[in-house]
Amino acid sequence: MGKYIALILWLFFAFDFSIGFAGAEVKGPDISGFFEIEKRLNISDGITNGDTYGTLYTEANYSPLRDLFTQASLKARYYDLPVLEDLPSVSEIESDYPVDLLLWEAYVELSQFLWEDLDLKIGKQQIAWGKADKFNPTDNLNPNDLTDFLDFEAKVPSLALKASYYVNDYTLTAVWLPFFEPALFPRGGTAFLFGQRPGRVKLPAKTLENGMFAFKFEGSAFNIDYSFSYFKGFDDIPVVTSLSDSLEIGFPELQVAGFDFSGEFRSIGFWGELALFFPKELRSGPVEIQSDDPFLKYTFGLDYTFTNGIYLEAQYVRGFFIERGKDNLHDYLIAKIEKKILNDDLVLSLGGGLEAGEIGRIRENYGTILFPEISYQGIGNVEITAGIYLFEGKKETSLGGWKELDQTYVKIKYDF
Amino acid sequence: MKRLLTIAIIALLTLNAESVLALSGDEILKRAEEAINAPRDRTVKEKMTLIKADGTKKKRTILFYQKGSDKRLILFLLPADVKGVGFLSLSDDRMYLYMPAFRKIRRIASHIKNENFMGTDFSYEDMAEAEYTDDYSAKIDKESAGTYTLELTPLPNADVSYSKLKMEVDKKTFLPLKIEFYSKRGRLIKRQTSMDLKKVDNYWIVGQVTMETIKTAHRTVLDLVEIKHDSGLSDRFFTTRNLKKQAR
Repeated sequence: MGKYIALILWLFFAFDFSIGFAGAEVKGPDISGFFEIEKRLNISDGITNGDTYGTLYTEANYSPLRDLFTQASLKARYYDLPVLEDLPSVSEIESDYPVDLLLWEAYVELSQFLWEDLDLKIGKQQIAWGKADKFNPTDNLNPNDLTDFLDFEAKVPSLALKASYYVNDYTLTAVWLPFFEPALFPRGGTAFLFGQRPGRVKLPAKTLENGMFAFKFEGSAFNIDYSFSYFKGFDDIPVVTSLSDSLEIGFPELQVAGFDFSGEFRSIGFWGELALFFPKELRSGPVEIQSDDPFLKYTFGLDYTFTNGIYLEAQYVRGFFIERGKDNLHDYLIAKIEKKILNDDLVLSLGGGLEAGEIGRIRENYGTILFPEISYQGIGNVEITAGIYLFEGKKETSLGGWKELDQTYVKIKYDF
Repeated sequence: MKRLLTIAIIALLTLNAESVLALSGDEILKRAEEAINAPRDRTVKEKMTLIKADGTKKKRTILFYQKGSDKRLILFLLPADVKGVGFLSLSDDRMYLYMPAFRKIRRIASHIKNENFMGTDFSYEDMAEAEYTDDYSAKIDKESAGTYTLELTPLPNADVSYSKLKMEVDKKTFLPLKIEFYSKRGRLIKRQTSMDLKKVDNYWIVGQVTMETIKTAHRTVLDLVEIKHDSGLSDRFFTTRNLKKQAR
């Protein structure tokens, strides 16, 4: 049923059912999007067939008035053929076909609403906070999209009301999310976090009291952009909430105070993002599952382009996105070099990372990742990308624990 | 006697006029900069063609907004793979890039100034501003009936990517007709040529600009489609708030 509602909403946006006002600045309706097919091969133990991902994304934009903008987008995701084990499943293949159809974003944006300095955005929307590259501890508004676990920075848009008020170089943003939405998990479910155990999920009730909210104040001083933020809501990645025989997972309350900045010094770009997490204590009987001790996650980064055109980016990260609690945070040094050639048609990049479970015991507690990639975009709107993920290290670390996820991939994307 | 006096006055006036008309290199550069930045603001729709040495072409459409010499906002309208990308350049080397796929504005540091802007032959520095007099001093290298050729050398502590520019300036309009860009090692790396000069809304403008990278023979041609002058773009137009709004 949800799929049909999504389709109807998209069609409404895609075709102009409304009457334009004379003299108004009208844009659209305009339809664009992309489709992408990605094939992976596992290479940890010989070469075996890996996951297949297919995405068809389409968005319709329409601006019937100068200060009114609307957008609706649909995302259809295809995950290879279903497992067909018996005759009925072969004859009813369409019922098992692993395709998700999601209403991705659907919002109305009112610029200069009531006051010239106030913008309002209402609906299902993506709100990206933080100035670091991919590792954004202050970005807690939209749930993570972990359907492709290696694409860990992806987020799912959520229903929200966002108001931004602008005064000179300062911006105050307030966001209200009426209810909690959990992270989207891979087809394998939560197995990668909790193993294959039967269990149940406890979601926060959809009550007004459980609504989430956040504030952000942005400004600029001495040529440095900065922001302070605060979030009160729930953790979108579940934790075990009961230690009884059957697994129970839940989404504990969470508050996060954030600060970020970006600027440059002698042409070198720099940024930082710090988030102080205030978790809620969780107990299963007398046993403490999660402490309420605050913990700090942060990312500091630098980037520079050398005169030969080689781009270098390095980030120091304290706390990966799945890590929680002051005693469970690991340290990561992530770096990437990139060279664009043939007028950006060909992009070569080499990324690598080192994880230290404990800096003093790095030999016994390390993890590494290497991810070379080549991307070609010389033919029309087609982009072809190929790359490898190689993990190594001790099992106790995040990266070392993914050793069996070594894989190579090829993807092709077409924008329309 | 009267005749002699008239001749003397005419001679004096002529000498004086010559001394007024004999502009220095820096003055010509200032006039060129004023000609480029003459309107209070400018909105330009342009077709951008990227041409490889073998003649293969890629076409794009951009919208370019300018106010004064230091505020620029560029939006990519077509094709689909770059549609919605926005670039904002402000004073003090503050540059921002909006990538629609991430719904995020990212500040970019000035180390990128020397890099190709979105795969074109223009660099971020070329696209960011036209404030030559802040960074260069100029001397006249050559003068013909219709043009001045200036040699521009960076001022001490100027944060620029080139060791020298050679600029051919039209005597009538003071618009640069040709600019040659030299690397820090002194090699000619790029050449910009302007064609189809015309007057629109009382301002001299260029109908076509070509930037060529000498080493690869790759060219980027900007063809004017539409232009609007003095439409009252406010400073608030050139903000990150508006960058996102215009780009979508």
